[in-house]
Amino acid sequence: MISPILKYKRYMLLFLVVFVSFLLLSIHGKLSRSSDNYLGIISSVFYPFQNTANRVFRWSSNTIMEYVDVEKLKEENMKVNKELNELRGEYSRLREAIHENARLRNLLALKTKVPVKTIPAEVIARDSTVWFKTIIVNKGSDEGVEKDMAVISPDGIVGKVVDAGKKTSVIQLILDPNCSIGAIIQRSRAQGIVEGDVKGLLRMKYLSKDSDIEKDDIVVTSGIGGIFPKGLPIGYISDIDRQSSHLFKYATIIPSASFSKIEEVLIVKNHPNLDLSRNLKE
Amino acid sequence: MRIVKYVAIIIACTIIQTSILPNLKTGRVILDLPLILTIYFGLFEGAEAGILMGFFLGFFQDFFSGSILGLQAFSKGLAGFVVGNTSGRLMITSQFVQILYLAIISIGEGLFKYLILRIFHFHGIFRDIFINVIIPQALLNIIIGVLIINGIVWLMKIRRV
Repeated sequence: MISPILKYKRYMLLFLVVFVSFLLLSIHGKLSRSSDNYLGIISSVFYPFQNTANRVFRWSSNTIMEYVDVEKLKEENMKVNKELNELRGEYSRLREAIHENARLRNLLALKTKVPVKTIPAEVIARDSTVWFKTIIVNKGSDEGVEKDMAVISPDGIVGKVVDAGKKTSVIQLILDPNCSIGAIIQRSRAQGIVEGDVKGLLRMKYLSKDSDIEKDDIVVTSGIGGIFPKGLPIGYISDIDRQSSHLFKYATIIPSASFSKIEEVLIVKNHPNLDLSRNLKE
Repeated sequence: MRIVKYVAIIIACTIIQTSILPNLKTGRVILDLPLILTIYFGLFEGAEAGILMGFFLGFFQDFFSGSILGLQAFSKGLAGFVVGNTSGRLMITSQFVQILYLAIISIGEGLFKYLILRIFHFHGIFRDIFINVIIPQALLNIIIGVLIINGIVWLMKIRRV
């Protein structure tokens, strides 16, 4: 005969899981992944593995691409294959260095243009779900990163810090449906709120009916809210919804930053309500 | 020994899910490896393994995403229970059964997460989420999930031989 404990083990486990989940959900917001509590330990434990896995993946995808090229060359010239392999390996490393150099130059140019203190950071992981749009960078509270700091790239605004661990930080991208930014149309100065959507675009809401907006208008941050400095490029308008039944106009925005390709970002340390429009126009 | 295996799987899965799979994104969708493994454990190792693996895989997925801590732990723990509790008399090695579970659980888990997120004032519109997130996610989980589940079954067979 099966003992009652064994018989109902799965239900007891289910009850436990539901209870713990409810507990976690109910203290949502109060519980931070940051270093000052025990959850920070998990970040610290996983950080080296994630960093290594990310680097190994980048290296192996480059190697695979190289292999494909080498296979083509093999057919054309069997005799010089070995030498070619070595040369292509070297070339790959150099090409990677050139790309990295160009990216870092852009980042440095932005850093010098923007008159605020910034922390350069490297993307080490991306959100593993499609529900949220976040990235993890290799800088945390040890380097001075704090919650609600703005994150930018040479192309435009990237997002904000939602959680700062000891060595890593979680950045909520502006594409996240829960991220709202005060925005302004650069040409006509019409104001609205920009929010992310699950389709990977942005939506500008609450534009007054008589506001002057056109396709391809550039949208920048308005500085309202205090997180993002004024004048940072968000994107450009690709579509305008002018339905007469609505109280406001809505616009679809294509973001300036290429989120799938971001590898390095700048975290803005402080910005005493600066207007960066002039600095970024130069 | 069993617990070491489970811990190793949770760690490996978390690293793959956070550092590698986002780079192999198909369209807007990222493969939900923790859910596929939860279904595998629920089918082949029973409800208890399904619940526990689902909970911990979900917890770490929550931890390394912008998610609400506890959301995926809850949905995946529940998924593990549903799979383990309903598959007892089914022929779990049949690919039809596996596809059926991958489809139902992927869609069900997506809907469940949407419901929970609504409580936390999630802004997404249901139609957009269903068409752009839940359905593509379920399709990707089915296609790759069958391969992963059968791959693990095959590996287990070889180990036994």
